Amino acid sequence: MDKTPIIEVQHITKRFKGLTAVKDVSFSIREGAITGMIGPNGAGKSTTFNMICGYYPPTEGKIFYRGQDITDKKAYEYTKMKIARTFQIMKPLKNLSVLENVVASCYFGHAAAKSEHEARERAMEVLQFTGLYEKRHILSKDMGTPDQKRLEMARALATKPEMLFLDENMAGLNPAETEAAIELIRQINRSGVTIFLIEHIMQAVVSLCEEVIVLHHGEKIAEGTPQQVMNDPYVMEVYLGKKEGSHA
Amino acid sequence: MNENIKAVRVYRRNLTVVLGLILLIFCLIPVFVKSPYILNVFILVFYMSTLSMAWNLLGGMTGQNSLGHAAYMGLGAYVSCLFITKAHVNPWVSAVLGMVVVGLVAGIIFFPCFILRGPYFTLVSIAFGEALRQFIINSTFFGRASGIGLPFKRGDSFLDFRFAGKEPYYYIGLVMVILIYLLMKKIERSRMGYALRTIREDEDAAAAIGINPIRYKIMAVVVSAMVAALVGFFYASYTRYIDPELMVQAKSTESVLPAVVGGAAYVEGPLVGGLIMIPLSEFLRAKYSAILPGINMLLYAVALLAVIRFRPTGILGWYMHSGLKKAIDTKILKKPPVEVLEAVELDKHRGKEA
Repeated sequence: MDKTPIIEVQHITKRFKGLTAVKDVSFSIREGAITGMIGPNGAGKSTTFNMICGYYPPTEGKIFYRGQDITDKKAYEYTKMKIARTFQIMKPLKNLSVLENVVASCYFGHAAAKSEHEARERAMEVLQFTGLYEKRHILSKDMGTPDQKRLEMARALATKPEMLFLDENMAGLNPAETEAAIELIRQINRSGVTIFLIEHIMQAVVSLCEEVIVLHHGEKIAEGTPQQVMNDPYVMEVYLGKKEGSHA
Repeated sequence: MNENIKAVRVYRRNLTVVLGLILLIFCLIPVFVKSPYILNVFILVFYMSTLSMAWNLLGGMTGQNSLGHAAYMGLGAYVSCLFITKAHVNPWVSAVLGMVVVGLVAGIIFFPCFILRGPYFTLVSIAFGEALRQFIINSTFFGRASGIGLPFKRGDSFLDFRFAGKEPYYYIGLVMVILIYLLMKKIERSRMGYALRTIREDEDAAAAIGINPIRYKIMAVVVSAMVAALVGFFYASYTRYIDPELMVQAKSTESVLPAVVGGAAYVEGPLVGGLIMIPLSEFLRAKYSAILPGINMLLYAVALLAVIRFRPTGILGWYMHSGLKKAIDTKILKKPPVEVLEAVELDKHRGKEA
């Protein structure tokens, strides 16, 4: 498969004043796949993520989407290009009901609903798909973490993306909830959406991703299938400490 | 399913009857109340509630707190008065011209400060109001501190928006309130309404679903300023005289109060707040200001503090979750459950498509 990758990141670097958060990172995301990014705290995962999603531009480097340079696109232009994202710290529209949260998303993006009725109908579909249908009249601030994480995904899905970025969508979930979330992500992927996710939970990354990128201190240290990455000596060292370093 | 449709129909009918009765009462008030003072209070309620609805579009729906709405109102009044007195344009046309000018001014002034986030908008809105007032006080063209009077020719004329009695102003004010309320309701349910509320909750979340926050905030400011300008025109035509005092900071604050007391999260908030707070303020002024000057303001402040302390979401914020609403809904309006309403609405649209 030598198709052009859906997302191609070329040598991006981000400096915040003196601190280099991400240094010369390049990778690409294959269309239709689930790609994951892992790394210890402070590795620059979220910074990389935010640069790709247009939250802030990289200091150096370029980002391409289907061959088109999107490095300087603003965050609000992304849904028009069929790209959607979620936030690590959930940003539900607190004082709106779950249904209204999703209706708002249906009004925007490349397939924006033309009428209130169309927006509501589509929102209902998304809610059914994400399993929030029964809770649609609850204020989103009154829901627990797992449902708010689901709502984040529902809001992103309502813009009908072809490329979905998930930022630590399973952090703070218990094993059963994680399992349910994994199943939902699989379903989304099966419906034809390419997914890129950041995750701390190894179980999720191993069972979901076809390709994994590992960041450490702002640099890419490994990439490949989950098995390849997990058997990489450097990755093991970063995650578990040195194998033979008994004096450490 | 048929039962559901019937239930929804009954509910709709009951709602229409109740709203119609309220409207009828307002229409009949001038027939029975002849005191110009009482009518004046009602007219005050109408235009202050409209101004507060304009504020609420920004403050309540978009989360951008403006403290300069008296300035939009004042500028609207000035621009339309100048068109009337200097260019002899028909008042109704002047009203439209005033709204357009104020909308443009607001859009141009506030474009730069929406690039910044946070309280800058509020600060600029205060500065804008005061700067405008100072400019008008020092401008001969605007009549300096002595203001502008609208010439009062003999005879009532709808075309010139000029009446000797208060009743016509009462009805025109009532129509204005209703039209602006319908406009706000329309905005709330539209794409723009969802965009504004999303921005209020979180700008990053708004951008993530494809809303350009700056664009929608500008739209809100322009619409809000234009409605305020319309109120200014109404005020000028009603009092027949305007001066720069119209734009003092306290007036801007007054435009905020009905919305906050009534419930800023609701389009109806300013109406409820206006109906309660403005007559209260007038009553206190009439009753107590002769006894001890200023005590009316003191009592007003206490009433306001009480609402904010005990009902921070406003009167409607309390009412919407109260047993009273539940009782009214089930006993008088016979409101069916939300699920039934929803199902019937969806079915109706499906029927149309088929």
